[in-house]
Amino acid sequence: MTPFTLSRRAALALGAAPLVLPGLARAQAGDPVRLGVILSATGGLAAFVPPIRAGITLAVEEINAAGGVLGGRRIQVVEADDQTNPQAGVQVMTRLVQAENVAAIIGPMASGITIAAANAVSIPAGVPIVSPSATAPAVSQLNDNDTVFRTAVPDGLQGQVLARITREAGIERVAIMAVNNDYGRGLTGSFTAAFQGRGGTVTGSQNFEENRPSYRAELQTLAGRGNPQALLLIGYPASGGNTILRNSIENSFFPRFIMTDGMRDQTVVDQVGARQLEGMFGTGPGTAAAPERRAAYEAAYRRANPNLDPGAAFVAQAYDAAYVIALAIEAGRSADRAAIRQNLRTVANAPGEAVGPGEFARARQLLGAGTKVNYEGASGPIEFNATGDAQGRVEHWAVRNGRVTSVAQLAE
Amino acid sequence: MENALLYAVTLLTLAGIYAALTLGLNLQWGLTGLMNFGALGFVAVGAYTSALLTATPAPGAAHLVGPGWPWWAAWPLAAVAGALLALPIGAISLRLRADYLAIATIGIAEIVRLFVRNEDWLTGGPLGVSGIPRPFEGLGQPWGPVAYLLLVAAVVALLYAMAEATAKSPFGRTLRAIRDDEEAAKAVGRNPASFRLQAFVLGAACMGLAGAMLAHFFKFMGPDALDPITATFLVWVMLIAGGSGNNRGAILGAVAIWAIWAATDWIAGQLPGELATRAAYLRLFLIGLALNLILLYRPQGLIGERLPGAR
Repeated sequence: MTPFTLSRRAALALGAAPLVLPGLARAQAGDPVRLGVILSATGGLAAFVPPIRAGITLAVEEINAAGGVLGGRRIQVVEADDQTNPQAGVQVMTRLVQAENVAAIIGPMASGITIAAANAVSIPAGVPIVSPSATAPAVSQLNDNDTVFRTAVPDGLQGQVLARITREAGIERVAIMAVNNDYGRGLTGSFTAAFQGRGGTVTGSQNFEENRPSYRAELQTLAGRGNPQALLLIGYPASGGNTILRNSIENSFFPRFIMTDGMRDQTVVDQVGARQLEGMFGTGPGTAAAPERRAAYEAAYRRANPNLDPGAAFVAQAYDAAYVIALAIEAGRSADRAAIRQNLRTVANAPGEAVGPGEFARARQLLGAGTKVNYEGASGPIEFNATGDAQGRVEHWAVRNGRVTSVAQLAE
Repeated sequence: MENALLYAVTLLTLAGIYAALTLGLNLQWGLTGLMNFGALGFVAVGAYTSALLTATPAPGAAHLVGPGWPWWAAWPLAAVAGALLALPIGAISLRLRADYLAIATIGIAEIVRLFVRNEDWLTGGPLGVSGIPRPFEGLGQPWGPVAYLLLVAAVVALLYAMAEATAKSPFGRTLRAIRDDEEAAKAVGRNPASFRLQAFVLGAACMGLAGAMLAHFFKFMGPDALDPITATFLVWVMLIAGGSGNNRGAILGAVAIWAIWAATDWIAGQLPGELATRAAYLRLFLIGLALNLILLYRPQGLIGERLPGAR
């Protein structure tokens, strides 16, 4: 026996203590406007989070430095971690909506989590959410009473652009390795349809499970069938993508690789080998921003975060999400959830006086004078369509001299 | 204030669903000594059974379109589905010693998880099943969730009453006898394999029902929602913390550990940016630490087992 054991009463008291704690999180009516942010800080998407969080922080700091919203109220970020898990996503969104009383939410990042949490929590409660990175086409089909928006470009467009640049690179036969989730399957579908429409052939397609020690068997099967000229890899670097590249290179299964937004990361080149990946290309979330707006955003981002990349995936989209929400609050002169919902389109879409990154003070003056504004963001013009999707561009990138380099911004 | 109430209702509903799971595990481990590390598999089968029977097809859904039954017809079948999965597994592996059963159940849970991820025609694959109706949703914001909480509470109360009756019955005494001394139980003419199988199947039925309640609460079920940490590991922590072998302890453990789980999420949210990320990784560590402290200083759990007749 241990020399010290708790009495039954003490044990019960200890067990009951946490029950009281969440009660402290009661809604605070009053000064700062609370903006919920749901990111996948842990789990499969964790690697994407630090630059995205910095983007949101930068936008909120700029807005607060310009005097905040609604006559001097600050915007306060309330962040939550969905663990890259839909169940946890529903739970933390419930907390943000019901206990933290947020006016609007940026996130979640993954499509599956966005759909689950929106259906269960934000749509019934009427809270507007703007996801910077949910790219699955299914997000458009939510029966959402106009509460679900995204600054990310849907995967349907990425698949079309990818098919086009692949054909333009002279590649006719492609084998596909795609991560076995909504992202991998959705993009495989849209790419295959567009590629076949352009006269290409998909020689084989394999959905892989993440975090396996080796993918040689799958790759050997794909390489041996239909003589593919390249492998299209749809996945994430840390959970299998890099392993697939290494396995393929070690065994010379494929002469070329094509990749998507999930693999658009300098660490892939650094870890797998610049020499082997030289000349590989792919697609990613693009920017349709006017060069001066993009430059203003990138300069401000680099000043605030010298070690992070303003061009990393979905960072500009997250920055823009914070801006359109703040502008919608200002335009409706209310931090009420329904008012934000109604004004998101008004401030993002043309017509109106164009305002861009870092111009919150000017936008507020214009709105105060009764002028309509049209936010032109760091990731693109941000025009929300009927289903709440921003109309954007897809980036064509390539590995040149060992660096992931932007080649072009394409609209199809 | 209404929002704070709704948050408490959400917390209690999830705690109630976990209580149903923990009661099932208590029947298997607490009473009979069966080491089931595959709660996830039985939860998944129950959740998908009820989801597919009740879901209204969403546009673009890949899964099998079910008959659109009401929840009260689907929930009992979810429990039956959990039991049906347990029956062949138990029949084969319950003859194994306890630790082998643990490994077999981990394997089954993994098979179920990979099955739902890959059999698109049935489960919708990685897209999952959405459009699952939540009972009493028509009552609107404050009362709908409250009514669902009452429903979950009623199910837990029913399971508790049945579990208590089982524990006090001759059947329950036999299970304890097999757990504590199998040879002695054999000597008085009991067949351990048959009793173990019954306890295993009954516990799995509870887990299937809990899975159904979970799916209808989230209104969505997908393979990413089936996480061994939350569906298996956390349930074990709840049972051990509350007191294995004691049904009231199982319920108390579920509520207390779920409150800690939710409170750590809330505390992490109060920290500034970078710290919040690190705190997220601390949650699992804290739960593990709590488990270790309980095992060291209160090995019988918050409320330990009380044998019938003993005071």
